[in-house]
Formats: sequence, C-alpha cells, structure tokens
Amino acid sequence: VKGDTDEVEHGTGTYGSKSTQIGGSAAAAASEEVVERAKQLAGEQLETSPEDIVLDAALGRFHVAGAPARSVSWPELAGRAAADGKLAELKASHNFAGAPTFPFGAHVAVVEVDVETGQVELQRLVCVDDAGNLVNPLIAAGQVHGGAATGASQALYEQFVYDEDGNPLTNTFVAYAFPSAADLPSWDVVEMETPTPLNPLGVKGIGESGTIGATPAVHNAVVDALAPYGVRHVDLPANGENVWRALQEAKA
Amino acid sequence: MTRIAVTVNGSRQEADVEPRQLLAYFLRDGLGLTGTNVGCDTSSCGACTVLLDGESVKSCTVLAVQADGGEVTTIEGLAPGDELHPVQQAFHEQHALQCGYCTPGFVLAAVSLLAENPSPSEDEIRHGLEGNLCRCTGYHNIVQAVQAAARAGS
Repeated sequence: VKGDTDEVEHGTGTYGSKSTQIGGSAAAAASEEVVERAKQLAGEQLETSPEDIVLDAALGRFHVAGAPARSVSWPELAGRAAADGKLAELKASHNFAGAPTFPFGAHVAVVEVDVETGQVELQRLVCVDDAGNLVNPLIAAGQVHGGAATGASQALYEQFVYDEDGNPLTNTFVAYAFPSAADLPSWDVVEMETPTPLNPLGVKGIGESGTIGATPAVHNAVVDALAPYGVRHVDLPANGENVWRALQEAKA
Repeated sequence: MTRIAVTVNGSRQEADVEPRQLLAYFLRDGLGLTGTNVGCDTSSCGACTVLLDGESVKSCTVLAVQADGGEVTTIEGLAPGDELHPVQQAFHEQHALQCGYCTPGFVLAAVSLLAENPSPSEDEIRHGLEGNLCRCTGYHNIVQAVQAAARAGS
C-alpha cells in the first residue's frame, strides 16, 4: 500500500524518520486486532469458543487449545470466511499518534590533510547510531552508510555556488563536486539498540542518523588536523582551497 | 538519417537514426529498453553504462552510429533465463541498491570490472567504479556485492 488514499484514510509524509515508529506501531496494533477477529472466525469454523483458540504464529495456523490437529491455516480461514461472505470481518484499522523519540549516537572521523595542497582524505568514519529495536538490521545499516557518505560529502566536497548576479555556477556534476566510491572509505558501523518506551515496538528512526553525525565529525577532524598550525576554523567544504586559505591566514 | 544494425542483447536490431542520436536514447526511446538510465548531462554519473563489444561504455557519450555492427548488452540482457546474473544476485543479497536508479549502470560496470580483474582488492573495486555515482548507498554495500560476486567466481 503506497500513497493510495482509497486504502489509507489519512497519513502524513515520512519526515522525522517516523515511518517505522508511527506506521509500524499502527500496523502492529491493527494486526493484533486482526488476530482477535480471526480467532472469532476460527472458533466458528472449528465449532469451539474463541477463548479456546490458539494461534501458532510460526506455523500460521489457528488450533483448538490442547488439540492441535483441529486447526485451520490463515489461507483456509480467509477462504472459508470469503465463501461465507464474512471476509470483511478480518479487517482492522488503527491510528497511532506517538511522541517523538530521540535516536542518539556518536561519530568519529579520521582524516589526513596535505598542508601543501589543502587536499583532505577521509580515512575512517566510525558510526554509532542507536535507533532502538532494529526491525531490519541490513536496511538500517544501509541507511547509515548512505547518510555517512552524504554527511562526509557535505563536509568535504559539495558546495552550491552562485555568481554575483545569482547565476548558478555548479549546476552539473562537472562543477558540483560529488564523491565516487574512490573518494570514500568503507564505514565502521557499530550497532546499538536501546528500545524506546514511547511506542509498542521500541523503535526510533535511523534515516537521518548518518548525515547528522558525519558532517561535524569530518569537519572537526580537519580542524583538529590543522590545529597545530594555529587554524581554528575552516569553511565548508573543508577541502582544497578552503583548507589552503585557512592555513595561509593562520600563518599571517 | 543513417541506417544502422546493432545486436542488442543477442537480438539484431536495424533502424534509421540521426547521426547525432546518442546510444542511450536509441536504446531507451528507439528500442524501449528503459533499464538504461540517464542521470546527468555531463557523462559524470554512469547510470547509462552498457557493454559495447564487451567493454563498459557510458551510452550517453556514444553515438548510436558508433554502435553500428556492434554488440550491446544492457541490463535487460544480463540475466540468463529466469535467474539473476551472479552480479545481480550479489547486489540483491548484499543490499547494494536502495532506490535502484544507479544500479543498472553499477551492475554492468561491475561485470566489466570483474571480467578484467576477477579478484580485485577493495581499492581496485572503488577505483574501478569511479565512473558511477550513487547517493543512496554510500557505496559500502556495492563494494561488498562486487567482492561477493568475485568470491562466487563470476
């Protein structure tokens, strides 16, 4: 179901990294209700009280407590319900409005600066981003990878430049510096899960975590590398000419 | 208009093209093979990468007439039958794609890289894929996927 207002009564966009927290919590509550409704139907189909119906989630079957042979699978249940004109009884709808959660973390960057040319190489970025319970650790790590690259790129490469008349000068990749795989290292991602008490799934958001930590970590690393030369600040992108100028000003 | 004959994904295609038409647009608009993507105007991003006579090329920087008499492999032609090509399979398993826009270009560039260098180091992979840009993945899992494909002997 994606953005179909015929199917989903209302919702907002995904901003705030809230999809799993809010949508996931609503889906979890709705699925619990569907299970309860299914038990009602299973009770009818198996001719027993719904209180005596057990769901074996691993097998995907409803059975009579203590008599596992008397059972019906999800497809069988739904098929029989559809034949009886009762499929709509398996539908549940839930809204969830939750409090904001606070993912946290820390990033550490290691850079090497060529003080003759101002060129900066990002050698290592260690990222700890706590997004609560991880529903899909592979995808969560992918989010951090992409965010780390974008954050590091903001620190070292990307800059949108206009001339005095407001004409954009960096409006193609020829002039807009965008890193390739050759310009970046692999990322050291450390998993950390502190479940939040603010929603039933204990999940927070991961989508923004990479970008938030990476830019200042890389920027600070460049300034730290140049501190022995008396540099206290380097304009972004902290690379090339901006580094060289900062060094010249510190010498003066 | 110029008459060209190009074998695309094993199938011979004859067409009249303007000499100035780029191969990328011949593939997309002429042949309906929209797996080859256009991501920039400046030969920078590599989303248009295809194989021409076995070499990876940026099809936005090749004229269709330059492919006359040649063989082109696009992303649509990579998988043998119903299974994924080992590089595609590796990209899938390693979560090396998110939005997928750069992926056809990366897969073909990786196929070409591994054909030249079957056991590349991480550094060789990163430099070998310099011509392909990605905003979603941060390249990390793309490198993992190429390494996995190399181990699988593709």
